[in-house]
Amino acid sequence: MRNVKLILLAIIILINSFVTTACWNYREVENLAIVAGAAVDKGEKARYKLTVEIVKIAAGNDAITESKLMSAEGDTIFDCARNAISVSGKRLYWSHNKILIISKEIAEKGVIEMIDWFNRDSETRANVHLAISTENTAEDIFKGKEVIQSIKAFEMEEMLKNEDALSKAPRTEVWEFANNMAEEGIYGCAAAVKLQKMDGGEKTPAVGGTAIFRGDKLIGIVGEEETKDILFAQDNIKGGLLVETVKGKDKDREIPISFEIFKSKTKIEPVFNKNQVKMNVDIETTVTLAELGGCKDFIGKKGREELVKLSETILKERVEKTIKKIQQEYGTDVFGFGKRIYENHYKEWQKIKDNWDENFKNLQVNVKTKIIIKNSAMLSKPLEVRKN
Amino acid sequence: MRKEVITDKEAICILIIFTIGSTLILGIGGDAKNDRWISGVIGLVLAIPFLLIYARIQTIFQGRDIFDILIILLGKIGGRFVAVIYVWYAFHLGAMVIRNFGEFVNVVVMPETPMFVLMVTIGAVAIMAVKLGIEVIGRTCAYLLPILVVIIIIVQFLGISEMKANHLKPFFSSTITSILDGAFSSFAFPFAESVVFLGVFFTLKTKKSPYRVYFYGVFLAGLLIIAITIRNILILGPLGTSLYFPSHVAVSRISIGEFLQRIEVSVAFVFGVAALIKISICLFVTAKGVAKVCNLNDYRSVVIQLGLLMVYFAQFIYKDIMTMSDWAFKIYPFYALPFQAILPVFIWIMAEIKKNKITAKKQIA
Amino acid sequence: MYKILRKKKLEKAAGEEKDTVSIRTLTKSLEKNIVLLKNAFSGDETVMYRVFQNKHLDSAKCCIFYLDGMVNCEIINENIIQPILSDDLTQDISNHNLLDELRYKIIVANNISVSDDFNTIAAALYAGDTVFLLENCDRVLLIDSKGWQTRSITEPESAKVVRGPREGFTESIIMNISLIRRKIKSHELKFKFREIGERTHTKVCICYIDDIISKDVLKELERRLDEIKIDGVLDSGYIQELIRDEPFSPLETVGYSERPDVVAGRLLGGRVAVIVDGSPVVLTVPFVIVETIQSNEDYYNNYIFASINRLFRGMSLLLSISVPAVFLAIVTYHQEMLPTPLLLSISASREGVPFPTVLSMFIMLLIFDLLREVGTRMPTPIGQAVNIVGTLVLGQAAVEARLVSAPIVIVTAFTGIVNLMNITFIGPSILIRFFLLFASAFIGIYGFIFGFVVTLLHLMSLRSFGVPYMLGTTKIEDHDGQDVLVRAPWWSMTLRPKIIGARNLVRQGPKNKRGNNR
Repeated sequence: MRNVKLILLAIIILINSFVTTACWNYREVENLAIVAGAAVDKGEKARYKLTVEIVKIAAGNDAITESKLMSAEGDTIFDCARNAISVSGKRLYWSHNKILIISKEIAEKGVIEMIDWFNRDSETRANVHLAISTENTAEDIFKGKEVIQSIKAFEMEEMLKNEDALSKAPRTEVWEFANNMAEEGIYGCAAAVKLQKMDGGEKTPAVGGTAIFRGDKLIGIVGEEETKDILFAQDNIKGGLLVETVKGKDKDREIPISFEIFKSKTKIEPVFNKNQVKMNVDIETTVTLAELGGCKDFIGKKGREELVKLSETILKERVEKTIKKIQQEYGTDVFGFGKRIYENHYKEWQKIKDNWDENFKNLQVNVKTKIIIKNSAMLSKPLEVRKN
Repeated sequence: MRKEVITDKEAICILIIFTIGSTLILGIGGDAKNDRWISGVIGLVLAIPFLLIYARIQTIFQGRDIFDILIILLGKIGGRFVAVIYVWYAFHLGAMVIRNFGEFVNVVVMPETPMFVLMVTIGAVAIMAVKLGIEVIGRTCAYLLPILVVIIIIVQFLGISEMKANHLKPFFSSTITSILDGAFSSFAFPFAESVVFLGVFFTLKTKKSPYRVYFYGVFLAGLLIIAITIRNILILGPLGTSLYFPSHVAVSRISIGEFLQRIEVSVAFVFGVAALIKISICLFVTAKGVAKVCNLNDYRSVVIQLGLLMVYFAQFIYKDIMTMSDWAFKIYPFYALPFQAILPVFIWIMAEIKKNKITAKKQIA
Repeated sequence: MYKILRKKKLEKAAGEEKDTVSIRTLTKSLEKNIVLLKNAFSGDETVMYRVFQNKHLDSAKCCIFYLDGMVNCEIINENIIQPILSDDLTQDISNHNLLDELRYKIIVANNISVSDDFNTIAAALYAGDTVFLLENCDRVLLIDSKGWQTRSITEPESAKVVRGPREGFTESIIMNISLIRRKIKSHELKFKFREIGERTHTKVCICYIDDIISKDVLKELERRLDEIKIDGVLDSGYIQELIRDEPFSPLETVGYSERPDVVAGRLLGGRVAVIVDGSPVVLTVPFVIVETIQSNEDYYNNYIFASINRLFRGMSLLLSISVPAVFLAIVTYHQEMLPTPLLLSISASREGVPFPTVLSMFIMLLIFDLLREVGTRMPTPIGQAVNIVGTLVLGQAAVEARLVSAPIVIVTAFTGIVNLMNITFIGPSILIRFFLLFASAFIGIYGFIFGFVVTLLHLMSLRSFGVPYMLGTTKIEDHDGQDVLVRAPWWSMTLRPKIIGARNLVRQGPKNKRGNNR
């Protein structure tokens, strides 16, 4: 009898708990407005205008997805995100967001609000890619035309992920940026995105270039080739090409050469000399000769040595040039030279950390390069052109 | 009623799960930045002499729990009085862990679910576990520990690609005081919390086993905790200090390929289970103590009441997560010191004196 | 209340029964005895009797009673009636103790006993013996003439093997015992009989190997069997339920098998078997959970292959209870755990489906179990048709009509199929699955985790005849774990599990190392 009562009680409690309460965090998937990407602009009425790219799913057995843009304004980012309900009717679901694009205008004033929200909120993920729009507004990027995938944010994520094989834009995730803001001796940077013209006049989003920050403020954007140099100096090269032209046998004809980078290791060592700091940047790159656009034999022993020497000089010059440019134009240590000193020479760092920004501008940087040609791909000799 | 007995291995398993309990999710070391792991090592080393004291007390009075020991040493009234203090400690600890769990789930995954519901759920499971007895808890732990350890190790390996070795450098960048502060806090939470097991290890079979169990249990748990701390530092970098739940965020960073990502659930599983076991042990000791103090026959009769009280207490113990975090790292070490260090040393000395007296008496007789 | 009522009813019934049983004693008169027996069995027209007399000896006037259909008529005709009718009894028989003379010298039967107790006579009659009455004698002979139709030994439908003996138990207890005896020819193999069932008087046999088993288990089993008070036992299932531990747990704590080789294997593992007359299913105790994933074929096949199969079975055990719950938790609470493409495709399949995921999952699981039950109850050819129609058509149509989403059908079907892998676990797994499902619906993955721990705690608290139910699952390095998730090769399994076979741990000599390796 007691058992019957107990069971009845249990059933009543169970039913109650389901009927009255069961949907605190219970969400059906189809009720989510899945955010794929977000763009932050200056608002017209409020401080910010948040544009999100939402994945619209058509009913059917095959998942057919469409991209849908939606904007809302608000005084903070979270305010914008919540105001979006009045547009979409559904709450935005941020867990699958892939990219955060910030307009130049906003970034120049400071990005800490966005970085904070993405790190603080439990639904957003901190490994969202951070990008700065070089167009007028960040929203414009999403208005471009997609190429392969239907969702532009996913496409841009793929672009950024595959930057490893291109090295023309840094791949920065929000948490990484937050770390760089806090760490000593380094400033953060982010990828730059722009619209590129395709055939037929339509524009499509493209990634390339580096946005340089000082603290949380954007101070400038450098181009794609310079980005590669920055990545060399940061020891962040994972792949990509080294393209150069050398003089061939015919005086007036230049030979284009591409190397494919397989492995690159940059050693950054500070040298202390009394109160003076110098930086030694040793770049060691393993490449293959992927393209040789002329008849001159760079593969034989003599030619190879010549080629290596030549390439090393070219690489050295361009990296040095970019470092100089950053030092002079922006004066922010995006390479993390200061961080190296902080990590490995803590005591010396204590002495110089206060005026590191000034020091950096006049820092003497010695770049040494070493190129190792691993192979020359499938051909063992340059192609020959028969002479008549 | 059958006397409950747990084997050494089961006891070690309980102790390990208990120790990694809520530490796994809250982390250790407080303000010591990227030297938190050094704090952890120092804390572990600091804890070892106290573990030996606990084991010694348990060995002198083999087969008796802390409450019996207190009554023997301090007489019926004094003993009961100190016993009540320990009951309070176990009760409070259990409530804190319940609250930790509630906050974690509430902040991280289910902001709309009332925290009380989460805490009642974990409390109810703990009540059930304690009702089934320490033997069942022991066997369950022996079953669960390998699963937990395997999960932790796998996650550790998966995390390698996200780790950046330079986050550990420079060593000793934080001041000595903050490292020692962190060491003290990690001594109190979690290593010396094993003092609670003085109310559990009366179930051990042999006289030697308390030493073995205490040493291996806390040492292995310490290794796990330090490994996890190092992992968190390596993955998170400077951001780690400002997170309430570093492990969760660190694991959420891991992504191997397209498919193997978002594996935070592993942390949820390990933490859920470990917190549950920790709560169960605290509840068991509390119930045992209340039964001893009030002269009840069976501790099982007060488990439900105490369990619900514990949940209720957890509800109003802190105002918010900020106070919780402050309490765990700043105030708790000092609060726990009497229970973890001062009283045990005192009990130990009393026990040694008493023991000599008893043996002397025996020799005369 | 209900209990009191029932008790009263029982008491009343017992009182009535007492009145009807009047004392019946045999007298010296054959006619009176015949009348007595006829009256006693009046209303039962299968009771046959025949009166006959020797040609030469008048005093040898006899009568036999037997039950039609329970006896072998050839035995009665040729071995009882024929010798008494036609032999010249005057020649070598003294009149003086005719019954014994007939018993020792004339009647050809392997088993004859003498009795004057009516209850014994009735019992013997019902067991297929022939009751032999003689003029001037108040005792009767009970002559063994059992002979009824039994099913021949076939391979059990429920547990077919590819490799291994093809015998299965039948309904006859004697035959079943012989099947076991043929496998274990040891004088330590003991059989102890007792009768259970106040009306059915069913024979129950406890079978064990005396020098292996733990005496505690045997004592406990005997105590529990002695305590059984029931009117009838029609299958070993009755006994199984009456002797089990933890009557409210959904998990079986008594093992059973239809195969003699399985039972013999368990006997050698230190277990006790209970054979019940009329049931082809033999019980074994104590039972531990790993036996649900053990199959007799594991022991006959290559150990690596067997271990892989067993791992599959263990995995399917886990999957069958947890897949729906985990799916539900992730899809409705923790969408961030899904990889983006998967989230999109699940979301697409959910588009336009009216029922919440919990409800459709619950309904689909119910429907699957319903179809399974229908399939089992139907005759084989129809059953298959029902299954095909049910699973394929219904599932397909439901998805097409957007009543449920495709992932739910996939999850349900997967769970159902995986569940069928461990036949003995079907019942408990339904309950556990729904429990976990509800827990997940309540607070997501944490509900699942706590449900899992609760299940585990329950499993850990179970004991079967004093043996922990989860024996062997918590230790891997010990020999207890050799036969759990993997099957260690025979040459390494030298010891029996410690707790079950406490008395004689050595299974085989340590010399038997690695077969014939040189």
